Amino acid sequence: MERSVWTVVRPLNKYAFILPAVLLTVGSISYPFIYNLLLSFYDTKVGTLDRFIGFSNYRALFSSSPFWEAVLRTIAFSFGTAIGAVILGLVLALCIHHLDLPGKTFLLGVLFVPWVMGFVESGIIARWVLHPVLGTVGQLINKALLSDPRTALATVTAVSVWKHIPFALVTVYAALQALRRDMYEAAMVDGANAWQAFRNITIPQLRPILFATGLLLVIWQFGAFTLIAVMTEGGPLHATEIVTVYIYDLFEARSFGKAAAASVVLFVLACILTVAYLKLEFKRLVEAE
Amino acid sequence: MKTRKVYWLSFLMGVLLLLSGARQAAGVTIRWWVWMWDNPWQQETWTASAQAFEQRTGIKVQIENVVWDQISDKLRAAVIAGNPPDVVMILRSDTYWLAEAGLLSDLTELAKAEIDLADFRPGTIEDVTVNGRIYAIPWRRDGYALAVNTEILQKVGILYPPNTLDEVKAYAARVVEALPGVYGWGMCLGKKHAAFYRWENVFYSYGGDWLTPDGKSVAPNFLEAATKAFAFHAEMAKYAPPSALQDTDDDVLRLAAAGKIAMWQEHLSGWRQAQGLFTPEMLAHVQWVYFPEGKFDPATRTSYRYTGTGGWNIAIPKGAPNFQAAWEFVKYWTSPENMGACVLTLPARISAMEHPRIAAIPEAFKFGALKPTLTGPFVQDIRTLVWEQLQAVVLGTVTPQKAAETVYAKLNELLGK
Repeated sequence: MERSVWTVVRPLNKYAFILPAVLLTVGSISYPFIYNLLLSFYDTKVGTLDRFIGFSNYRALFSSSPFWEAVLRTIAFSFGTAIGAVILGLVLALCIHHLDLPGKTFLLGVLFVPWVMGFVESGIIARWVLHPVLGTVGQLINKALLSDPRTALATVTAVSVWKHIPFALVTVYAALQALRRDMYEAAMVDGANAWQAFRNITIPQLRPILFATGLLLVIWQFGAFTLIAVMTEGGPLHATEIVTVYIYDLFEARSFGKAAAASVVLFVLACILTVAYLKLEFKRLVEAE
Repeated sequence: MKTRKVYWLSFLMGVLLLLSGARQAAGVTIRWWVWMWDNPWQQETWTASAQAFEQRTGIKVQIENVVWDQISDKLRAAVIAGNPPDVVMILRSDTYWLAEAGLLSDLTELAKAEIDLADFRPGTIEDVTVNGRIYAIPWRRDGYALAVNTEILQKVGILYPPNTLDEVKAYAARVVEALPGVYGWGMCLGKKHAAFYRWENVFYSYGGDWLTPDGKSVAPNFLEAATKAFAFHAEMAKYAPPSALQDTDDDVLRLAAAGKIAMWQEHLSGWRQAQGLFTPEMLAHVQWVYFPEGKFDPATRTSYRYTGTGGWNIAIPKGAPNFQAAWEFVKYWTSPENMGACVLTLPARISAMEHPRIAAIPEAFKFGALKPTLTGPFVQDIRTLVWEQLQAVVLGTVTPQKAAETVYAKLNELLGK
C-alpha cells in the first residue's frame, strides 16, 4: 500500500520544490495587479474601493488629450532610445570586435559603466553636465536643452540612449562572436569589399538579434520613469511627460482611479509589444535549430 | 527514533518560549517615520534625542526614514494595509487631507489636557485642526527671505537691498546689463513645489489671498494679485539664467554659490544648506533680508512683507499599534527644550524661539510676516496648475492675465462654484 502511494507522490516532488517560489512570485504580482485593475473602476481619493463608477475613468482617459500626448511622447522616447542604442551599440561592437589590442575585455568593462550606474545618478550627472551655466557640455554648446520644450524630449532620449548603449553593445558583440567565418572567406574569394561583406553578410546574420534587442529596449522604456523624473519632472510644460510620469502626477493629485486606469492601458500596450517580442524570439530559436 | 524526535521538538519549543519571553522583557518599541536626513547634524541630534527619551521612559524609538514628499502617500498605504507606524512627521500642507480621510488619530482631548496650546505660534493650532478636532501637534514652521549678493549689487552701484518688488526688477535688469555671465534673479521652475511656493510669496507680497475667511469662495483680491505675480515672473525670467525652466531650488543655491546670481528667494532650510555650501567669503557677501512687498506707503511706512509658510507637524496615525507610548513621545518631542534643540528651521512653539540655536537664524526668517500657504484637499491640483501656468507665462505661450484666470477658474471648479 505504502509503495503505491509513494509511486504517485514521487513524480510530484519537483513541483513541491518550486511551489513556494511560484506562490510567492504569483502572490506578490497578482494581488497588486488585481487590486489595481479593480481600482480603475472606482472613484477614490484615498486608494480604497470607495465608489464604483464603471468605465468612467477609462472614458475620461481616452478623451483626455494630455494622455494621448503622453502616449505619443512615450512612443517617441521608447523607439528613439531603442534605435539610438542599437545603432550605436552595433557601431561600438564592430569597432571592438575588429580591434586587435590587449585590454579589449577591459575596454568592454569601461564601456559598460553607464549600464551599471543607477538611473538617479545618471539623471543627476546628465542634468549637471548639460547645465548651460555650470555644466561642461552645456557651456560648450551654449544652450539650455532641458529648458526648451522643443529640445527637452530629444535630450532626455539621448541620455537614455547613452544609458542603454552598453546593453546593445554586449548583446551585439556576443552575436558577432558567433558569426560564420566561412561566409566572409567565401566573400573575400569572390572579391567583396568590407562594406559589401558588412551589408550582405553581417547585417542579415545580425538582423534577428538587432531587432530583438531593439524591441526589448522599447518594452523597457515603456515603463521608464526615474530618468525623466530626476531630469525634468515631465517639464518644461509637459514636453517630457511620458505615460509613467503622467500616471505619477495623477497619483500625486490623488486621482487613484484614473491613475490605475492609465496603468492598465500602459500594461496592455506593453503586453502587445511583449507578445511580438516573444513570437520573434521563438521564431529565431526555431530557425537556429 | 521516537525519543530523538521528542527531544528535538522540546528543544525547539524551549527556544521559542525563550525568544518570546526575551521580547516581552525588552518593553515597547514605537516606529517613527521621519523624512530622509537633511544633514549629518540632524541625524546625530535627533537620534540622540530619541535615545534620551528611551533612557527616560524605557520606550524604544525605531526611526524609519522615508523620502519627504512620499511620507503622506506611504502613510495612506500603511494605514489602509493595517500596518501604520506609531508616530509620523507630516507636511503641514498634507495634514488637512490626511485628517479628513480618517488616517490620523484624534488628539484633541489629550492635547488640550497635556500640552500648553497657547505656547504655539498664531495659526499653527488652526493648521492642525479639522472640523474642530486636533489631529497633529505643530513641529516647525518655515518661511522665506530674499537672499542678496551684496558684492554683485555693489559692482553695479547698488548699495542697499531692494525694498519693493519694483526695485527687485530694476536691480536685476541693471545686473544683467552691466555684468555679462551674471544673472539678476534666480528662478527654480524645474521643481513643482519650489516654483509654487516662491510664486506664492510674490502673490502674497502683492496683497493676494486664496480664499475668503470661510474657505468657501475664491478671495476677491485673488485675480489682481495672481496676475501681478505671474507678470513678475514673466519679467524676471529675462534676468534669470537660461536654465530657469529646468533649475531646482538646489540648482539656484549652487548657482548662487558660484557667484552667478545677484538675488533669489530662499527657504530657511536653504539658508542652513548655504552655511555648508558657500565659502566663508561668499557667506560674508550674502544678506538675508525681508521679502520685499509690492505695496508700500512711504507716508505711513505701511507694508505687507508676507511670505508663505510651510512646515511640519507630528501625528499619530489611525490604528497605531502603541498609541499611549506614541503620545508620550509626541509630548516629549514637541516640548520647548527639545524643539529648540532639534528643529531645523523655526519652532512652532513661541518659547522655543529663546533657544540659542534659533538666535543664529537671520531676522528676516524669524520675524517676516507669514501667511499660511494654501492647504486643503485640492492643494496638489492647484500647485501643479500654478507650476504649469508659470512655465507657460515664462515661455510666452500665455499672458499673465490668462494664467491667473485659469487658476481662478480651477479654484472655483474645485470649490464647487
